[in-house]
Amino acid sequence: MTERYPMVPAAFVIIFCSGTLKEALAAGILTIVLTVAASVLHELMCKAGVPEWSRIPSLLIGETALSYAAGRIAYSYVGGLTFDRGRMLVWLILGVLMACSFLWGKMHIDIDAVLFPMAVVYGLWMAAGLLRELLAYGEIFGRAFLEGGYLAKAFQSPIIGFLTAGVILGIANAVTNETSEERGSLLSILPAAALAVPIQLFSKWQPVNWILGILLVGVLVLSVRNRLNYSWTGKRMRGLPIELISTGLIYMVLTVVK
Amino acid sequence: MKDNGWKGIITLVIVTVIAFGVILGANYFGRGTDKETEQSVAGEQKEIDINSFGNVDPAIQSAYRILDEQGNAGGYKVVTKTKGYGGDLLLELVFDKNGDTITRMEVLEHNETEGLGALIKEPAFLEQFKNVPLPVTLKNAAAEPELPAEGTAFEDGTYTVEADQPDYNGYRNTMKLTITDGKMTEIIWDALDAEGKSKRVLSDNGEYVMTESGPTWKEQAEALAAAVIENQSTDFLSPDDQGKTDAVAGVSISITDFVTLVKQCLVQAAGTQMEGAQTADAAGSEDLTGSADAAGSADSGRGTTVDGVSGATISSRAVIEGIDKGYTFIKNYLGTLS
Repeated sequence: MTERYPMVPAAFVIIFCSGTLKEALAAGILTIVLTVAASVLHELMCKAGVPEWSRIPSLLIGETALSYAAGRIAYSYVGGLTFDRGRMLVWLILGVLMACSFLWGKMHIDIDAVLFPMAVVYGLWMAAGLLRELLAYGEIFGRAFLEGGYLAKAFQSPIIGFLTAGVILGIANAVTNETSEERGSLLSILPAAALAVPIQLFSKWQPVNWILGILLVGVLVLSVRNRLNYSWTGKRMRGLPIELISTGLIYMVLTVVK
Repeated sequence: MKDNGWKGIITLVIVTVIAFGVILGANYFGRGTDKETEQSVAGEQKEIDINSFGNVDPAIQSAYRILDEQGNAGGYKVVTKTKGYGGDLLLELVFDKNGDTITRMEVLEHNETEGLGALIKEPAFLEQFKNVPLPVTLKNAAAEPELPAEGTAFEDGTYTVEADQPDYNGYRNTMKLTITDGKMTEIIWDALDAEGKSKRVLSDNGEYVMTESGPTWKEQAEALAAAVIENQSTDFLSPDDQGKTDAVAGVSISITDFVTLVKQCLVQAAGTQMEGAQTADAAGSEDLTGSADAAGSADSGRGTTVDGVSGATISSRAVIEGIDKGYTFIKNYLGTLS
């Protein structure tokens, strides 16, 4: 069954770029641009009869470069967003994942079929960004609305990022009558784990922390996936959405170790 | 098929135009939300290619020249990343055109503890850095004692030090160190609460509990002391940014105060004069709300000393480090222009 929108790249970028309404606004529309660009490029190369050995690296390099450029321009222009090393890696990886979705994923070939689900995801993404910013800072678009002790910076953490991504994809699947394959969830979760290392066992050996963090998250997600196969989850939550939520809960547990 | 190809390209163009519109709109609506609009960064910003400089400090994330109306550099903006207590700390610093003072400063991102390190975002703390001579240092930063030179003879006797100020938990650290035949033979680290009760006694009685399983505070203090006596040095402890060490099994408490107190005792034993004992994280007793009035005092030499956030020395030092690295970068950059 074909996918009508690139779930894996969307999930990956939502994890990191849904902390504030401003960032959700910018990152969401850029993701739509990248989706359309990848679809158009892939379709043009297929129709032109470009051989696979050329098409694959062309799309990978082109989409990655486009993603980096788009992210850098948008983040540099919009005040309050910083294009630091972490964000640079997010946008580079997004480009790679987007290209992979169209090269090896089961993406729908008709661009019209892709736009509506992406628009639904975008709307939910903005709502999530608004909510997270409000609960973390009491602000919407930088304007203060709430004050109080219940505001918690934790709403900006990767834990909530994973939960947000899972919920958004689940709701989007329900609205667009879509389901997600189980394969591919690690493609969004493992790079995310590399960028947001969940554990710090050794204060001096950061590369060891990095490798252990990725392995630990991968192993735990795979073990949870086996359990989820026998659990009663809704049809639209099966696969990537529920695994993202599970990863968020795994991060919550691992935070204690950190 | 041609139609489909053109349809895709037209769709891409339309979506790209919409994206530009959204981003322009986001920038327009976000512009008026700067809290310090009277000090907001005006004028075009030209990015400085930091990668073109050799050996740039990795703390420097980005840098910009801020152009005035005549197109000349009216100031500089630097974003730095340093290690705070809970994680990375991102600072945005705006320097004047000579790079001598900070005209605006903002904490972009932090993971510090709410109510403690997170107070570095408060205007009362940040105001200290505005328009004061750089570089900046923390008050009491100079209190960290230097160990006597290797080979210095220690006079036999018992030396005690006591902190002037309690730590953020309300305990005032004390240390009793005994030297016999020129060597450390006994180290007793303790801390007294506001009522004068000893932390060693409280942890023995189960009234001061850190974790249900695991060694008590007293056991960890004694393990530390035994290790230092065995090694006759504190160098092997090598505490990390959070004051933790892997060098002594079973010790998970912060040892920064312990190391400082041992050094103070050894300085006494070496016969070096000291002004007074202070704890490692005693950052002054001023209320943060008052620190805006008591702005950092200028040294007799260059730079300014400022108050840190009480009980959050690591967070305060991370801010100072970010400022100093930004300042150093701008000065080096200006040096390449002249």
